[in-house]
Amino acid sequence: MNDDGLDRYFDYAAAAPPFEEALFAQAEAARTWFGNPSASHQPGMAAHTELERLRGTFAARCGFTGGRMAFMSGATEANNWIVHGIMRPSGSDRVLVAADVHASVWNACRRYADRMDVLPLDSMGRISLTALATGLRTGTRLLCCSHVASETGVVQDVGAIAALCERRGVLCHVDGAQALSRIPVNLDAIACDFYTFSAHKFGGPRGCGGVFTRSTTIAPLLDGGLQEHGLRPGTENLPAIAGTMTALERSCATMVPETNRLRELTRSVLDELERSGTPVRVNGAPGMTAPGFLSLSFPGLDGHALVADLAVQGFAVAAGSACSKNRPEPSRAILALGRSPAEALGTVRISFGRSSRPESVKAFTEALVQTIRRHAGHRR
Amino acid sequence: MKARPLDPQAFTAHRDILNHPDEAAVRDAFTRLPKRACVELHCPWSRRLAMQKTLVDLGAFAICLRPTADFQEVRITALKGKVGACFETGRSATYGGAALAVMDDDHHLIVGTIRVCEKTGGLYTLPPYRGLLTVTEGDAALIRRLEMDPLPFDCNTFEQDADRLATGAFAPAQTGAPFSVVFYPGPFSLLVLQDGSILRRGICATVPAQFVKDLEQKDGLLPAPPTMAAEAEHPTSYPSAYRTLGAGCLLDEPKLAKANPDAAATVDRSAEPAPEALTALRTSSEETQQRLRRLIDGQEPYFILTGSDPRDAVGCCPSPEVGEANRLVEAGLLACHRTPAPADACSTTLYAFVGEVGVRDDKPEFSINVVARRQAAEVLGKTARGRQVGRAALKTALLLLATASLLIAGRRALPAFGPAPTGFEAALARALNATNDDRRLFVCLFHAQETCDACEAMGRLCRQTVDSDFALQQRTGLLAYRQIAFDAPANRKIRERLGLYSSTVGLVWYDRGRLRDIRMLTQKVWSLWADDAAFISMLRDNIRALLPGNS
Repeated sequence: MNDDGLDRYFDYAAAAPPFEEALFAQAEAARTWFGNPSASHQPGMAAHTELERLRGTFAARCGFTGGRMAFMSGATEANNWIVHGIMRPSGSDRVLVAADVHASVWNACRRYADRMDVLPLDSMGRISLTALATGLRTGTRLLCCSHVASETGVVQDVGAIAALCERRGVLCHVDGAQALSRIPVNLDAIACDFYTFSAHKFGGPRGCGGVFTRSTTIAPLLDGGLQEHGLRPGTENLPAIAGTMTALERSCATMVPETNRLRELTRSVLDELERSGTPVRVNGAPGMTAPGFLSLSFPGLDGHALVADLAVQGFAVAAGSACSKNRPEPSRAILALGRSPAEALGTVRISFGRSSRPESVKAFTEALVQTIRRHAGHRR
Repeated sequence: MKARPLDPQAFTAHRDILNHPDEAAVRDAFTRLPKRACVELHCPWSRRLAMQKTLVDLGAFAICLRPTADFQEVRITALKGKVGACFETGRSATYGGAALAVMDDDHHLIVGTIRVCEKTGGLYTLPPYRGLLTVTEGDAALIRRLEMDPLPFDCNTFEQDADRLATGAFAPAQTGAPFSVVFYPGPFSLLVLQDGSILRRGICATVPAQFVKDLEQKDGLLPAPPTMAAEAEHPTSYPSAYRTLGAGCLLDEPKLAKANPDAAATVDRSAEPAPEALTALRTSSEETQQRLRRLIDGQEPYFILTGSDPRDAVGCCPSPEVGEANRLVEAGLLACHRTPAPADACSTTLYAFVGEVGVRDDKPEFSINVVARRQAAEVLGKTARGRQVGRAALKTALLLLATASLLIAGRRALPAFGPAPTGFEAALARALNATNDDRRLFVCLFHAQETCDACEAMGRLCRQTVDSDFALQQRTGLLAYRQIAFDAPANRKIRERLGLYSSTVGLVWYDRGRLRDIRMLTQKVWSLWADDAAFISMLRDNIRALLPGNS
């Protein structure tokens, strides 16, 4: 996808526009490796070879050795596979889940509500190791947390979290959907048991993601063949995987300069809001959020109305988690920071990406200030 | 509640034992093991380095190779589970062996005493390192912090440690002192001896005899039998290697053994079977002998077996025939090409005589090794009593077959360039700036207009290879380097014809203005672009193979 015309799109946390090269790679792979990777003829074996090459390259790019990596339809499927795979066979094991996890983790855990404990966050959105040590009670089998929180962008110290879990003999599941390509990820330095990702968050095709696992085998969610090391049946989506690999290469290649640029953009929004005297609360620890992420609460305003108004003006942002938008309830992740329901309802998530430019961000900030002033005139 | 994260029992509770596995079986078994575990392999001596490399690539550590008394078989043990973050708890590790320094599988170079993170300190308390390393307990307050606010630790001190080692004092071996042939089994990846010799794990080497006794007692060094003297290497000297290569000299991988059957990627049509290979053939089953007779008499290039070697404990569908064929591969009579096993099928292996299997663009290619077949035919003829194959007739037939296979190979090298679609050759010639009378090999980087790290590295390495190794050929016009943006509209036909969607390198050979050959190196360049030395070596070999006078 051409980046032209995307300069008013500030919802990269929901979905990043796909890289042109990723779409191209996807189309080419569909033509070239049309064979079923499970077939024993030449086109099938060629597809199999390419699939394994892509898997190896992808794992190496994420610093992952010694475990298995399975491609799935995305982090939502992978998260469900992990939670249900661990929790369903046992009637007594407990799961500890961070309060700000994505809905795919939270709702999967809620199926085991009587065995689910919630790990609170501090006021900056961070997981405190002390709270984690307390929360890991006898019988806890699984911890679920995010590497980068999908609503606030807070980066958790998953290296320390996974190490603590291992010391307690608890399986550690990290949802890395917002982390890959935004921050450096070296999975060999994170002793977690599961790490999940989605391609459309970093400019790859949607419908592709997966899991890195070092844990004991979990039964697949679906019945079928033995594809993906027996973890996920169904003919592998090789074209999407090729697009995913290309997108990861492209986004990682520019990660360092993009980090500084995106931090400048978020800084400029905050400076302008401060200059304009707009009452706002920033969600997430300063300096501890992923580049390009801004979660802002405007007390007393309706976040969904703000988003709709900005959409009319041509700007794309989100009210809370993309997957829970249009819900009237205040965001669980924002409430977990100790915000009031009024503040949580007035939350807007802005996430910049590669096509965001200073001029368009300036125009957006001006529109945001004007929109807030207008809405403040007729508060809820 | 445990204060320390690494419980030694976690490593020994899960142990997988593999007998005569191939690399794929090792990878599969290793990745299926839990986060902390142990693996044990049994393989022929000739396969030990390939197995060791596979384990290192998988992130195994504390790898130990224990040869049998006759050095024909090796038992390899390795641990899995060095993943995790590095936190400071004030621990240090002291090496107590007879060498000057040691390096582990995580590139920690231990010269005397070094500070280590909590995780590495824990790993060093595991049995393979027992008696070799002493690890301090660390600071109680810092250990408590692991539960609340752990202090990050910077493990990345390799270059500093290598520098410290280089500036240290080395004790030169006595002039005229005798040398001994020894074998270092591990668990470290290498030892740097008192005289600066780098003694790598798994390699037979000659070292000054004056060091051997101490090394045997303290580091488990093994004396190698006299039969190993021929393959013993003279170790590299660390001080001189450091002067030219820096700390990277410690990272060189040992060369893979030449008898590795899976590495048989080069066709050598005159490779002669070793005497033991023919002995193995004589003692093989009648069924196997029949199969090989059919292969020779029928002028077939290869035969296929499905199933796994019965020695492979986790193999699917064990087959005695596969086991016997593999033994002939190990003996040096046959070569094999293993195709990737589909998820729900057992593996398929193609067997041919030694020197007959090559790989081009990941596809097997076969030619006829006249010498090997003739010798095998003689043995089979004698074995079968009366099935004497007329030598002259066979030779003629095989030569004919060899000619045919060469023709086939030639056609395969230009898989679809016979009736070229209109415009492709013209587009390529235009992009390469090739002339009507060109006789030149083009080293070509195909890239997208927007470049990434990988394709920039490929371009840099191509230029470096061409400039450093083929300067003369460039000056004489026999070789040139080009870059083609495959997504430029003018190059659409090139992109479509060559199936380009990401950067790659191709070797394009023109003779008298006509396109004669294209060799795409896609698989190789993508697997090697981050490894400068390996990339350059691979490209150099491929260029040499195509340049006139080098084929």
